[in-house]
Amino acid sequence: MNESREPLVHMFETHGGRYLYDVNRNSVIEISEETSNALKNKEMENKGVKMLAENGFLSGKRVTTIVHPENEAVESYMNNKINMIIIQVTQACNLRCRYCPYSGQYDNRSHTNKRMSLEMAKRGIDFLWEHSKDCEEVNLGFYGGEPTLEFNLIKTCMEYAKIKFEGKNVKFSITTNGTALTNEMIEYFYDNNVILMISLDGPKEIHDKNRVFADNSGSFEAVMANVRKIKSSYPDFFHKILFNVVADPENDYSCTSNFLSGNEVIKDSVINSSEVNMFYRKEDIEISEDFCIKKGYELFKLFLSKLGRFDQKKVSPLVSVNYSFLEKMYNEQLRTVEALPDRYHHGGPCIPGAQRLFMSVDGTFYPCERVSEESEAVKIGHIDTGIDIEKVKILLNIGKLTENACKNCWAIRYCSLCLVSCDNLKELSAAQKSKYCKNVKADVGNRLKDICVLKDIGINFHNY
Amino acid sequence: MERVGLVYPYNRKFTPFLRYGSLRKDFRELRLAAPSGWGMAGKDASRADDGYYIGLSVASDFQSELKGCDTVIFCDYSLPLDFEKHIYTKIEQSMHEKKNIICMLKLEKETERKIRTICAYEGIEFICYGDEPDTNYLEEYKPEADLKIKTINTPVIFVLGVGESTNKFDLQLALRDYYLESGYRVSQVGTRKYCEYAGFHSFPGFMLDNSISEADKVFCFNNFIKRIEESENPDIFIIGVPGGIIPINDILFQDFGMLAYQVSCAVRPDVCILSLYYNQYDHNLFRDVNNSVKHKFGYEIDCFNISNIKLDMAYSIQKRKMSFLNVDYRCCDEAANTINLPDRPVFNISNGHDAEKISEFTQGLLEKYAEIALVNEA
Repeated sequence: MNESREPLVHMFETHGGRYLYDVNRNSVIEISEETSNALKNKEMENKGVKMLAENGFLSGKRVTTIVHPENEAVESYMNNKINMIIIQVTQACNLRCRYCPYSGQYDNRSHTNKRMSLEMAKRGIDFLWEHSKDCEEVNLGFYGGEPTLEFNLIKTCMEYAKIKFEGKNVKFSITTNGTALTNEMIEYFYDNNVILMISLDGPKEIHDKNRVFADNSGSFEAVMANVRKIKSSYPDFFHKILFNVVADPENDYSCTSNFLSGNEVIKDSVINSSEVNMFYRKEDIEISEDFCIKKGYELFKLFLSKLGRFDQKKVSPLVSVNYSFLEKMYNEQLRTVEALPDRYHHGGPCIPGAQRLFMSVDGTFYPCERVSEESEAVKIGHIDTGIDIEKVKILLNIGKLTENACKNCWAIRYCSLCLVSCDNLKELSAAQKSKYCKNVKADVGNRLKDICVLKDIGINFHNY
Repeated sequence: MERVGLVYPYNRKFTPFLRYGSLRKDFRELRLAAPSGWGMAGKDASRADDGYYIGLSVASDFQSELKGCDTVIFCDYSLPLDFEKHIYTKIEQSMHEKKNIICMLKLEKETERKIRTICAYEGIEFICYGDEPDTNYLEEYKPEADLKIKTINTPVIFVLGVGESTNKFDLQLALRDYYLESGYRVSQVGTRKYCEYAGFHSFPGFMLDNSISEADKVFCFNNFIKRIEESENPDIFIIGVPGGIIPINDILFQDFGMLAYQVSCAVRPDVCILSLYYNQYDHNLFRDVNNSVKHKFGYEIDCFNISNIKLDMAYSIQKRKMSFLNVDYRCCDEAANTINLPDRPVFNISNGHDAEKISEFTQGLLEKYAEIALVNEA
């Protein structure tokens, strides 16, 4: 530990004040203009600066060893606490969405007609059974391609899992484009409390821009017809459906927002919003100024609603998650501590395979469904050989790739980079990972600013 | 002994009874069954706690295991389980087949009455350890006059944990076995509600009764221990304290260690064992924890145990509830071996060897203290 090094802090300003985020203490402090200037000029004898130092702030301590705190327990998690397996029942899909990871625009596999055999699917479920002894409940997910094209296989798997896990709660989930849902499927999913995640990007003109059938026709009407059917026949099931909305930067943000909060069928449903996946993408996406302005305006309305000065119902569901992030950061993460530990790892990686173990049609294991199936770097095993513990440890400890940068990074506690940021399909790349550092720091910095501004104008984060 | 017993739903809460105590000697044959979804069917019983090999296999078909056994032990369990579907129906099956029933579960009064009535009618034995008799503890244990903490003259060993599920029950049973086999008279109060099954006292329910003041609980507990001392006249007293001694964080606060504090106010230990969750600790942690205990409770920790249970912090915070996973016992050996504290040894009760070592260590300390004969407070 070298206490004589520069304080590990991040200084920032808002319209109303100046602040210092002290990484060691994990605290944000409002400081005067004079103290702020003195810190910038490294005037350590300044009264305000000395006062901070005397009270345990401004430490120059850095993490000495980058290692994930769960590193030594990886094998135990893999043996006893795999919470979920996601089974890729098919690689076939009836849509050809333009930003789909399998569309050719990403470094990933292309659409194929490969399907999983029942025997392989059962082995996947058996694997979960073998490795989830300490889980209070387990989750079985079905993924594609378009998984509902293999409804009979899904049904057989679910019946098998219910028997296999007798005495333990099994939750089922399916990620679907929603176009191929039949009455039989809906009834079965309803009876078995299946969590459906349906992809829907917005109104017809936006949804159909990207989500198209093989003949290039839009899929909006097919999805909405099924959604209406569920809502009218199984209203309580409808409220459990998650709508996954991909906010394409090339689309009109306000238009999507208005649709989600105003459409008679969709409004009041649970929306899971995400932006187009930047990882593994062959070409970068330009985010237009218009998109940023409109998103910013929706955030503004969200914050106003929290002050009681705007109707909450008119706030875009696309941005409501942003406030949840702030609440979580304020209430769970920004807790004052003594100092950074000697052994630490930046935030971001979950234990690969423990949360959402993904098994492809041929039985290959991946940390989750979001990684590229073309990548050798992220394969963590196979149903025939089990999970490669050493590989999991490498993927868990991606901070080692950028060890020096991480040790000196003020955002080390709030970093969100996981293995996909480093994956160049052949290996984990420090250079590739470093490209995302700027964005992470901007995001963390903005969240800190948002918290300070919102608290300053009277928002109470304690109602969490 | 010709009895054949079946334990259901077998899980890690019952494993200490297989490793220590006389249960295995009480039955000619012991069978274990667990719901098939718990992932243990066909495995050795040690799969439940990932400790050393036991040599009993776990079955999942309760009905077929029931045949040929004469007693069914319904044990406590840590995983969620539908009582009506998975326990009560099995109790009914057992009664139907005229099997004796030992129940370690807390039953609803009406359910217990119903089972007791049927068992009496069928002429089968029903013993339920999960419930305490209705006693007015305040009346029974709190003296009306002369309010003072009475000194316990017997050497006392405390078994504490930083949290729940830290192998405390293994430690308590291991110590009991050792001292009984060494010829000592042992009095003991344990961390669970069914310790009577192992031959000692359960932790008294009044300590968790919200209608009794904290100070009254201290006096009651002191008297409770004193009464046992007076009636059993032991050579040694082992007290297991349920729960944890400290809040883990702002979310996982586990009663802020109130119970441990109250017990510590009521009784002063001569030897204290603290059990920790599995983790990679540095030396400072042991120093800091010892200081915390010293200043909060007024005594020092004599030795540590690293349990083979890990707190799943991320999941626990997400669910607002403590969640754990087992770690292979050999990992705890590695973790314990990296710690080299000059005056406070670190043990691993789950490895099969340290049960004796930790007991010998406590005995050594007590023998050393015995050389100093205190006249005051005696």
